Amino acid sequence: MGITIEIKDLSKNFGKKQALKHVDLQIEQGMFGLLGPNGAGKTTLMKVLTTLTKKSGGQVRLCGIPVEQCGQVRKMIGYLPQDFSMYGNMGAYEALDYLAVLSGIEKKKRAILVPQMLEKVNLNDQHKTKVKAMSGGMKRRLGIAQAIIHNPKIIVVDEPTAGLDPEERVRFRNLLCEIAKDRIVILSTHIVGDIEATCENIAVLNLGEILFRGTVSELLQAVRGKVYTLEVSTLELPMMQEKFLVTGILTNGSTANIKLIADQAPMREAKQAEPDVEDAYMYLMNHTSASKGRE
Amino acid sequence: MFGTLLIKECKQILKSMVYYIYVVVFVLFLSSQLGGDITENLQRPQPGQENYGMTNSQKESDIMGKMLAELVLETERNSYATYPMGFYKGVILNETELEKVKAIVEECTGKNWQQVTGEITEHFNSYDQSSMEGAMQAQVTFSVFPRDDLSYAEFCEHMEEICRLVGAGSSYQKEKWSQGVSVPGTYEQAVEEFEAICTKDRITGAIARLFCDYAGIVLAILPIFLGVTRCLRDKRAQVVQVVYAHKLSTAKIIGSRYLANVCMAFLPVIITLLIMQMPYQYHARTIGVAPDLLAFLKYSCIWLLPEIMVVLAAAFFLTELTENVISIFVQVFWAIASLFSSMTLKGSFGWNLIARWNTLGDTTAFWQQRQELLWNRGFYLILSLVMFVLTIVIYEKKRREGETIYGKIFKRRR
Ligand SMILES: Nc1ncnc2c1ncn2[C@@H]1O[C@H](COP(=O)(O)OP(=O)(O)OP(=O)(O)O)[C@@H](O)[C@H]1O
Ligand SMILES: [Mg+2]
Repeated sequence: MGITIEIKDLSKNFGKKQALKHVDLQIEQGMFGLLGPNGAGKTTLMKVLTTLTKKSGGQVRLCGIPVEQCGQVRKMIGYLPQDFSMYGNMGAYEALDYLAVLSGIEKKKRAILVPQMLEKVNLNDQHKTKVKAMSGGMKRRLGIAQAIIHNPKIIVVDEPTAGLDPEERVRFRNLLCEIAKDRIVILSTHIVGDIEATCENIAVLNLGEILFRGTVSELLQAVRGKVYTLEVSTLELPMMQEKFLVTGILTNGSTANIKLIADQAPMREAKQAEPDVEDAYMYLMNHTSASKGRE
Repeated sequence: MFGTLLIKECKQILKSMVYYIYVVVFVLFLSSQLGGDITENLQRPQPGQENYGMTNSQKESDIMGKMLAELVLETERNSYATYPMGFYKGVILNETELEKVKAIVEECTGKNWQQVTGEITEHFNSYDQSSMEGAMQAQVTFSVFPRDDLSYAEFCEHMEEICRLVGAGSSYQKEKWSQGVSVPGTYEQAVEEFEAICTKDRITGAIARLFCDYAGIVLAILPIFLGVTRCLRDKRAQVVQVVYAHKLSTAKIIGSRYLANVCMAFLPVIITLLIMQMPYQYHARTIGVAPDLLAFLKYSCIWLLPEIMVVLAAAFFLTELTENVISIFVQVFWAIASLFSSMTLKGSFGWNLIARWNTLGDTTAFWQQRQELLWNRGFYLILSLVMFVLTIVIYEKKRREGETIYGKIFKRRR
């Protein structure tokens, strides 16, 4: 059985609130990006995959094993929660060692793996630093170490780059890409740049529904030829923002260079531009909410 | 894996402030209660001593004599001590009720009330009332003799009548005196009792029993805090999700936490008892008795361990169920209720959480009630295992569903 995740018709309700609505997804080996605004249901979807929440309907299989078999599933997943933390009075080494025990790793292996993992996440000179004294970034790195230490087939990381400085973010992305070589890494984020840099396959989630499923270039394809740049006076800006989907503004004295998405060229002087993922994402969000509005 | 986790949990406990408070409070409480030297009560009685302490008597004539004496004294003052809900309540009777009680006294003694009160004065005047010793001695030796042809059955009926007049929780309730009353011992009884301490308890057993009596009181409360702290630590440190997502089974996770807490809670208990026992081992040898060196182990394992286990199991269970500190309130109430519901401070174990034996010795009486204690402790041992299993069930349910049963009911309402 290959490394795949099959999600069919997955629903999750919290009381009356539907956090996931009939989600269908097939995830293959490699990095997989889950993109969506706040409250889209990313965390909920990840919790279903990691057995932390019971689904309300549908089927989920990880490497062929139904998610209901919690014990089996937990063995092959590593999970970094959105708000990862550890007991404050434990040092980095101690905390990782504790979690490695929870993963069922033998003592001899732990003695090798724990320092190795700390080195991998650049915490090797912080063995004794207490968790309560760690910065947000250090905690996240500890979190990724505990998610990969037992060499799981599937790694689920929930907004791993939130709150990291740019340098750390790049390191983190590279680390994830490196790990993803022979397994699935599912990464959620609302930072479009992360997805662009790392993921081949992505899904865009909003209000519990999948809006888009495919590769990054397919996403870009949807807006190709619809992105324009234009120079306008700053006085015209509010009007432009009202009329068009403006994704970038660069003011320069009394004029502004704006980037907008439109089905046809808005004015003669508008020049076509190369779209990036952010444009595509904005277009997708706007498009679907607009079409929703019409219904 | 279980062993490793157990050790890690123990280390965590050693790092927590709550644990040190636990140890300090425990040791302070015990040394305040058991600090003094009590070896003088463990000497072979000599003939011609002024008194030979008190002894428990189940002889019907003794019971009748002591109960009537108490009744006469309380009636004379018209002030009856009762403990309806475990708390003291003084009862004062009205004229007609008082007359009825006096009539019963007259019926039981065959004398009229004036004669009876005359005897009281006479008895107490014959002792030196100004010294503490004398007053005590007067109190314990005071007895009122029933008339010769009063049968025990009649006496019991009269006592029931008194209970109706005075109300619930008085000393005239049959449960309170049917186990025997305290009467001054004779030399022969004192020797017999001393022999029992030497042969059955081998000195250290009696000490261990007194220790368990005091320790049992604090151990009904202190371990609650350890349990609640452990269960809430995950939530406070936000590690609930991380722990849930790992592979180790719920039984092992909860099992290691519970066992670590039981061990760490028991450790200071057993060490304190061992240390407290030591001088008495020495004392036993000086009076020619081979002490029971393992008394501390036997008594604490049978008497205190089940209590620690059940208190911790209840704390684990309630805290995992509700995810708040409510278990502290529930369990402190439980402990206090148990403390006040015990009829006597000596034996009558029943199903009380806190088993009392607030006396040094009384070995024969203890060995008569030992079986009851064993049943009691066995019950709590089983109860703790049941609650432990329930904790696992609840944790597993939370782990699978991501929501608590309690949370489902209460958070939705908001
Ligand atoms: N335990 C819960 N009880 C009730 N509603 C919940 C619960 N957890 C999540 N929700 C709701 O489900 C929806 C999806 O939440 P989710 O946390 O999955 O979003 P998200 O995509 O992770 O958002 P964010 O980017 O802010 O992390 C939200 O509307 C949220 O209010
Ligand atoms: Mg989230």
